[in-house]
Amino acid sequence: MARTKVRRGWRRWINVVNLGGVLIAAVTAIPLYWLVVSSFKTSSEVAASPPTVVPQTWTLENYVTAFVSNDLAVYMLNSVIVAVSTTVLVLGLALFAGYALTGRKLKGGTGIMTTLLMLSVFPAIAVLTPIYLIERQLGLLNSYPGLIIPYVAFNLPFAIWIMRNYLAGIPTTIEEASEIDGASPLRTVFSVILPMSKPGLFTVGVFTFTASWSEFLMALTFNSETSFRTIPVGIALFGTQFTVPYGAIFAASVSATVPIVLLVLIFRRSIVSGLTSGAVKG
Amino acid sequence: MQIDRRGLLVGAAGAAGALALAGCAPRAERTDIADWPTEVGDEPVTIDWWSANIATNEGGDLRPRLIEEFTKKYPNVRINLVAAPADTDTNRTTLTTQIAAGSQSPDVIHGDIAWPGQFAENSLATPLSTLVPDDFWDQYPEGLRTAASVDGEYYMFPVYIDNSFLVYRQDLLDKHGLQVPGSWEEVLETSKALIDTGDVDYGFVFQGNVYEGMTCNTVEFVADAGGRLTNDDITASTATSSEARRGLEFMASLVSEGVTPRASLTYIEQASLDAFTTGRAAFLRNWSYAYDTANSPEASSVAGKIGIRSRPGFDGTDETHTTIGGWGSYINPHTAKPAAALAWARWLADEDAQQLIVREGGVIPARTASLTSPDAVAAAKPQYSIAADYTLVPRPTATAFYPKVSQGIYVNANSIAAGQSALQTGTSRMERQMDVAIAGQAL
Amino acid sequence: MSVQEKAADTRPATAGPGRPDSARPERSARTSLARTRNRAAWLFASPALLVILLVTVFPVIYSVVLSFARVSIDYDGFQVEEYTLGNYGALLQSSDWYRALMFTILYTVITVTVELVLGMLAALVLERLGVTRGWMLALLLVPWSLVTIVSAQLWKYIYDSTYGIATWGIGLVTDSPPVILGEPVSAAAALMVADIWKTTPFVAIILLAGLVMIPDEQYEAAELDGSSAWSTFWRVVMPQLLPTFTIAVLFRVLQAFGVFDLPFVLTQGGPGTSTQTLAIMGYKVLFQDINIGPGAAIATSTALIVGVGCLLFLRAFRNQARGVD
Repeated sequence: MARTKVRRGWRRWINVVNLGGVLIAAVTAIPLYWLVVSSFKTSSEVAASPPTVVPQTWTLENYVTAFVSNDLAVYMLNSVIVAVSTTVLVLGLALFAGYALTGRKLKGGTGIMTTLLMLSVFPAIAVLTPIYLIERQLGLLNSYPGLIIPYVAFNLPFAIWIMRNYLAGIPTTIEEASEIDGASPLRTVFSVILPMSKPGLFTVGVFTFTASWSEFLMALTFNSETSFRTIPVGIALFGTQFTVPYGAIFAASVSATVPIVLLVLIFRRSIVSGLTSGAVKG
Repeated sequence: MQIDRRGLLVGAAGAAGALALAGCAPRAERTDIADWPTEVGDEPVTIDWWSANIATNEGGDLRPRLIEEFTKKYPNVRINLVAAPADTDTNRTTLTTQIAAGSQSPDVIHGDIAWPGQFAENSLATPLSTLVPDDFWDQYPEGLRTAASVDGEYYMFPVYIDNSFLVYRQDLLDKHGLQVPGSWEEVLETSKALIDTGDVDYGFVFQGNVYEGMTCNTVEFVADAGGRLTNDDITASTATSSEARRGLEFMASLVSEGVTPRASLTYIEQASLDAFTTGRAAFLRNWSYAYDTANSPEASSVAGKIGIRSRPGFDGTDETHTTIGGWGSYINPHTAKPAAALAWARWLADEDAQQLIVREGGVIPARTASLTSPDAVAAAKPQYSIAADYTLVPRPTATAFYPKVSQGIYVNANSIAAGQSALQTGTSRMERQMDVAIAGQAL
Repeated sequence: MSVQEKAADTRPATAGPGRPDSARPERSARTSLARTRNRAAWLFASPALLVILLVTVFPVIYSVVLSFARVSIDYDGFQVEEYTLGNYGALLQSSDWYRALMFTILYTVITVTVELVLGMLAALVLERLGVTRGWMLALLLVPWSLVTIVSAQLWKYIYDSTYGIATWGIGLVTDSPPVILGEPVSAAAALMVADIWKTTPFVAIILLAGLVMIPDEQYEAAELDGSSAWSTFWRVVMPQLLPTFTIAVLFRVLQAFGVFDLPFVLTQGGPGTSTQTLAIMGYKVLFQDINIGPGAAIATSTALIVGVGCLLFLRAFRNQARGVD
């Protein structure tokens, strides 16, 4: 480290890095604070100008409205069903596919990985139209499979990428030992690979769940019927013809966000390693 | 035995593809219009009614009351209320997605009066003419009948019309000894005077956002100037006519002379009403419900201090104009409960429901007889008496491409009003875009 | 496709993937083992690849076909009336489409650039934070994990012309409160700010991971050379960070090109069509105007542009990777 003047007392803490850290924290946290605080304001205070930094009256009425009069419970149930199903399916498929792509088992494996990487961030609008028309012909619109199948397909590329990068770290000697023992490839996966892949599975699980929970465009298009709406669609379409109840919208938003934030914070190591494995190992 | 891996993949793909295209779920049977049952049986049946809020007198929700009254007559039919999205365009888009996909729900749709053109073209609504007696439609004013039908075939049961009104701060006019304006020029002057006193921030506010509501306002101002935006059979745009220009020029002058805030060009109904009920604006153009809400102490800080009149015209003209807003019932052509859906949709347009709207609703009933009935006189709603004198101006909705035509109008009107486009270029562009849209070429 | 793996792949090709050795009996045993592995690998990978193929690739092909069709809708579905180039003709004559294309490109370039710069700065700060780094990372993950629609609604409220806090704040220093979402330029800027706020943490985390891999010796060597912070950054940090940086750019560019949720809630593509991205326009044409042929044309052209962009980018990246090695 470069030699700097040694500062005494509180001045020690003032340097570019710490100030930068404070700035980053503030810029990140202020809108979040605004979101949460507004969900506890009365409808007249939410519309107050100038805005109040701390609510004069704290109220839970927005939460009541969101759940009681606005079907939020239905939307949450739908989101849970879709997200959980998608996650389970993706985990199963990605484990096998990721394993298959490790080592040199498959010719053209590198090409597949590259294609998968590109597909993982392909703009959904490009495929929205045909998927909608196909689902319409098949009668899959406004149903759970109608969302789950596309979600699985769109989350698989990134999931396979993560699993493969993770499983590539397992020494081949362990695989070979299992083969020499006479185990079929299937048994190898279940008894040897699966137990060792838990961290990778956590990463894929959290990413897939988060992505399915937040997905909007397809949910809006395929499941617009109220009984099948997911949370993002519900929140985006909140309100009646002439009113936009921000308080209730934020109450619904906070309720919908807290599960994901908790999930992400609990599994944050998995997430960071997931985000970076693609970047660093790629 | 070698499994050729390529063969495996191709085979699997083919099998999956065949399965997919064979169709895992058969499409539900649609009731043919010739076989449409008109009698509701006795078995319990539930239908889904897609509807946004319908205002009551006090700014509440009329829908539960309507359902309650209907259930007295048809006790075995349960109406399940499905909340529709806020903005009318989003409302229509999510709805058309569902119905175009063959969804059986919702069964009855509470929809905008501007939709028959597009709905008929895209098979999104049931044609109604054969489902009720021919004279059923005589109950409604002419303008409404035209709007609800396409090439003589009806697609919508009218429920209520909406007219727009000018609501103003009577207390401020009294305080400063000013007269209620009788023309737009007077609105301009009075606004400036009131802004100068410092009692209000804004003079006149309206819905100027880049959306359908702006089309309504534009059509109204153009009608005030004596013109229309299209010819009678909607085959060509007349946006560059001198009357249309005059109307748009006035809208631009409202902003350039500081009478209307630029913020008004981002307002939809709620925001404009907020500006008025919080005391910031002196004059407001809005729909019928706005007067009731602004006069209700729970929702407004200017309750009891306001007055209402028709939208004025320009100096020297007698006629006052409002565009035909309105909502009515459409029947989903894929509904699985055709008889019940028909019963509900028809009931909402018939006498019982219309009288309920007169007594308790914050909107204007579609049925002519109801508007002049004793109940209406007893309700003593100023909107009803003003409505009687209004000249109704239709938007150019009787075209299958109305959404795009409307877009051509509201995008350019907003731009002209904001001063971003000069009048000349703005109206030329509006005319060009409207013509392209009318020809079905707009993207 | 790390460099090591590519090197590994260029082994001498034999009858099957396997270790080259010369003992014959062992070899046949090994290659049959390899075949079993290979077969199993295909069986394992097929379901996933099949799903991806069916849901991603097949619809794109379907979309291409429809984009050359004139489609009409009746009660029972849609019918192809005829095949025509008219949809693309309409697209190329539509000023709205050009505007959407230009805006999407502009939006992508600006947001990705700003996010990279801010993300880099944030990553540099985070790297040097000691104890607090864990907390900061946790905080940064929160905007990333917000449902996009929720973030959009929040910013819509912040920008609201009547009671938005941003409106009020800016109104303190200007003559009259601005109508942020009502003017094309400020609406576009507002959109970008909201996107940047939500996505910069993601970029910062990726860059941070790359940063921590740079060995301390390189920093010390640069310091001994008397290099300033600025030149250290460009001579030591950036070259090492380049692969990470490139991946981050690729991810972000592809995501930004398809942006939908944020403009849908914040501006609906408005005022007018000034913040209409390609995705918003595609959605409107198909679902608001129920115009299937042109909608498919928009989807196909978007996919084409993205695909070409990817290929060009990866080609450039391969060269870069070879150069670094």
